[in-house]
Amino acid sequence: MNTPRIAPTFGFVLVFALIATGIWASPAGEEEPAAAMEKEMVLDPATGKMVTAPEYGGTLIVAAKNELLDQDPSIGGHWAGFQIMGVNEKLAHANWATPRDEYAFDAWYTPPHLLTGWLAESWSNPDPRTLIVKIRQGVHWHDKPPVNGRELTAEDVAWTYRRIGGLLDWKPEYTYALRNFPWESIEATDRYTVEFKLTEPRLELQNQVLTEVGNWILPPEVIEQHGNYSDWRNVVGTGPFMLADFQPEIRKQWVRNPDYWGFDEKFPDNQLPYVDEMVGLYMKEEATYTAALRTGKIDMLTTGGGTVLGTFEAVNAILKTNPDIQAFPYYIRALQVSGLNIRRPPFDDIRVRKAMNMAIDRDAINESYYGGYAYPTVQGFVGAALGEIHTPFEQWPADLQAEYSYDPQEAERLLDEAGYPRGADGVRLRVTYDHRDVIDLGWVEIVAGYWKEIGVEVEITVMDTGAWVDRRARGLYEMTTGDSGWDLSPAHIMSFYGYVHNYQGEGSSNQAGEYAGGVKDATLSRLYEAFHAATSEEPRIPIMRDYNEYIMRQHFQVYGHKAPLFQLAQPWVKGFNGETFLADMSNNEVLVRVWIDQDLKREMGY
Amino acid sequence: MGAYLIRRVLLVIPTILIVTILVFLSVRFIPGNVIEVMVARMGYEGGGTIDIAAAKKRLGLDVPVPVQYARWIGNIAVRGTLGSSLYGGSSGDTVEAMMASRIGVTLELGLLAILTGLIIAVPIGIYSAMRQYTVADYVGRSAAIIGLATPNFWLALLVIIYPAIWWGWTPPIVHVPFAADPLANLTMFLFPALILGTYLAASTMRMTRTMMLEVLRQDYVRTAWAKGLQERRVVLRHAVKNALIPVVTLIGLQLPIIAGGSVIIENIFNLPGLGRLMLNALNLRDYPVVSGVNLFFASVVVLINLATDLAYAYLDPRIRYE
Repeated sequence: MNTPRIAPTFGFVLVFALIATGIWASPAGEEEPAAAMEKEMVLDPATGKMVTAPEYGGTLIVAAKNELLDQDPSIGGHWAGFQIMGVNEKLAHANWATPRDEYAFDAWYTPPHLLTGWLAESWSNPDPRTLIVKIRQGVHWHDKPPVNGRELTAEDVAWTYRRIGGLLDWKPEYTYALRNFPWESIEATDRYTVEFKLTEPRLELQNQVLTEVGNWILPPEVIEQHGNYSDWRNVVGTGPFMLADFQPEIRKQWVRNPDYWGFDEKFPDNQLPYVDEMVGLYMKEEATYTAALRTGKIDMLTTGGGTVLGTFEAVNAILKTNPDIQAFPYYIRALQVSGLNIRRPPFDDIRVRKAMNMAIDRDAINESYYGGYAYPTVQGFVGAALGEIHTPFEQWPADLQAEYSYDPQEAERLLDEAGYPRGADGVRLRVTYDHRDVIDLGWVEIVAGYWKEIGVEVEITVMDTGAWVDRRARGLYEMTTGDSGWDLSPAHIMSFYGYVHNYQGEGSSNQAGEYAGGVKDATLSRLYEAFHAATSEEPRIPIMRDYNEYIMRQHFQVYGHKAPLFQLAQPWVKGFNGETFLADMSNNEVLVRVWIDQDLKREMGY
Repeated sequence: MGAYLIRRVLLVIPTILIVTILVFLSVRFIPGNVIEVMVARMGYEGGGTIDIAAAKKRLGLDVPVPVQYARWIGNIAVRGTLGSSLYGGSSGDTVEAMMASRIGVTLELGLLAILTGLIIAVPIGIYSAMRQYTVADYVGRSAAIIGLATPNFWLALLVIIYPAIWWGWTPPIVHVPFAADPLANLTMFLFPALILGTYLAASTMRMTRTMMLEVLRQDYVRTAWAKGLQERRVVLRHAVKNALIPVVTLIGLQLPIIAGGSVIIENIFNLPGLGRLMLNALNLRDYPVVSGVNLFFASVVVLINLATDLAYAYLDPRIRYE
């Protein structure tokens, strides 16, 4: 009897298809990359290492995860920068030639002494209320309407700052601003000089004007013509790249500006950028962009693209299959921190908060979970990038060190003392934990195990940013994802707790009011006011150190590790040492300064 | 038939109206509102602040929810627009424009998934029915159950991760429009369609088998056998056509599965379709986009149900005379 021929089951089809396509598409990846023996080697002055000489050409492809909110910095805040970085420029940045052991370019904060001119040639503070900036001469806008390659002038810069400073046609949709400054005027006093004047002195004037996150110099004609800078087609700058294409959720493409005025600070004869084009491929899932990296479809996972890896485990898995890939840890802040709602039991009792901190064996977690990459001790609230303002753990008073050392017996004694004895089931208290989904869950699960040892049962709920913020803003949480070890400017760090004393609740977007569980503390208020009353940087240093010590003594949060995030790059990406920012949130400018060893790439079969 | 048609079409109006209320409210009941997300994403690390009252006013969120709903439904009815993204800028096109630029991807994925599902399910379902209680039948049914029980996202992750580890290869992840390069486009859709199709195939295969068993027991099939026709002729000429009528109905009802599956599959395989648009919008609490995409999917389901009912009424007179 004839029977219809039936296809084999789908499982066989799938397996066959996978194998066949895999064999077909497999690159010659097994071959050992030939050493670039014939390549000229040069000394990288920032690292002291020999590297293959910079070369021009090629396409740098990075994975980009962040959704575009708006290209206009006044609307999109720091997120706007992801499109316009490399196209528009700021006034100053950290000197790329700075030795990396002095400054690793991995902090939002750039110490003032490391700043060098970008669009600014120089600057000065003739008095505490005034900043005078000399603009670089001979810088031209890209040859694109409506600016058509005209020269950048001081008036362009003054106009930009008047706009973000709230002095020019302020619109309700503007979110980012320097308008909290008491501006008197921002004027171009000649073709290349801008004068910023305040009605009262602000020490942070210079740093915030020169590098602050959203201070991209924009073309006035575009915004006057279109009302905003939101449409990517209107983006025009003075930078090394021109934005050539933007397809939402697919790709962005920047092409080289052949007439760029800037040169590599490490190799001053080399005009920037090195690559012909840079492409950002939109990828949402970690599995997708790690697979793309493994297979050579992308060159880098970067902090600018939002695709850094958060765990040592994930990095290790890639290095096992692709040992040539370069992994660069950086320590931008401590994310292994748990916020506590100190307005209600049990965390209104400092003894309970102390016990939670003393229950954690940070050394053991560092060795086992972080492979020794994390800082073994608590970093404090103020990050290490702030130099002398930061107090290393080793310099803390002995009694404070003890409060952040592993001592489960003392933790149990404190809980007994606080009135939380063990019940018949061994549990002293049960609390809930709101975990923000973008932060590594592993650490939380591990420390929950430590807390269980002292009789504290923690029920973890993972939620997206919206739900997490909502519960935090309404004070509904008991424990929540927190952070610490901030490498922001002193004024920013001060604002986290400092704002608390004048937090207005609903109506204020500053989350500091809920940042530390609703802290309202007279000491913090006093320190905040003293900080802003200071007329020079020197008196601020002890204030910041007191601020940090006080916060740590109060155990507003449970402080874990300052563990790294990882940027990854293919072996053919050269000139990159794991730097994240050139200035505050300026990521693409780092990529402007890397090059592709195209021979190596070809030799590796890509 | 005319009266039935009018009655059935009129019933669609309150159904769609109820759907609009549900899709409008559901996204607003998710914890965390758009302002809080904006604050978290824009103001926090940027050092700036958001004037919440002004932002609410600008986004039309300063009025009670019923008024917001009335405005939204009014815009749909009067101006024919689903509104604009709350995030402005380049993503601030109208919702229908955003959907229009992505619908092709989801449609292509859905059609290819259905096609894949049918190619897998129909032959296996027929063969299972014809060889009932044989090893082949058990294998086919087990495969269907495994297909139903295997989550799409898990299979998709395996396909993305393991070829990359084993062979240094991964499915294409940069979308190329069909018009630009048909082969590259179809190559990109191959695995997503296979995975989504597998899930669809499972239920289709079970339905095909059940219907085939029923049809094979009908008198006219027995007559065909008695006439001495070959098995191939009995099955393909006489049995399959009738057995597949409910299967075609099932395919129409699989649309919600495709819509749900596309959210995950599009994200993993980097397809810029409606599913990814909705997931991004959900993360951002971009209400008009979430409501618009939901309304679109819900409306299509309602319309397909309507079409199915009308087709049944046309084929079976008992329905229209009840």
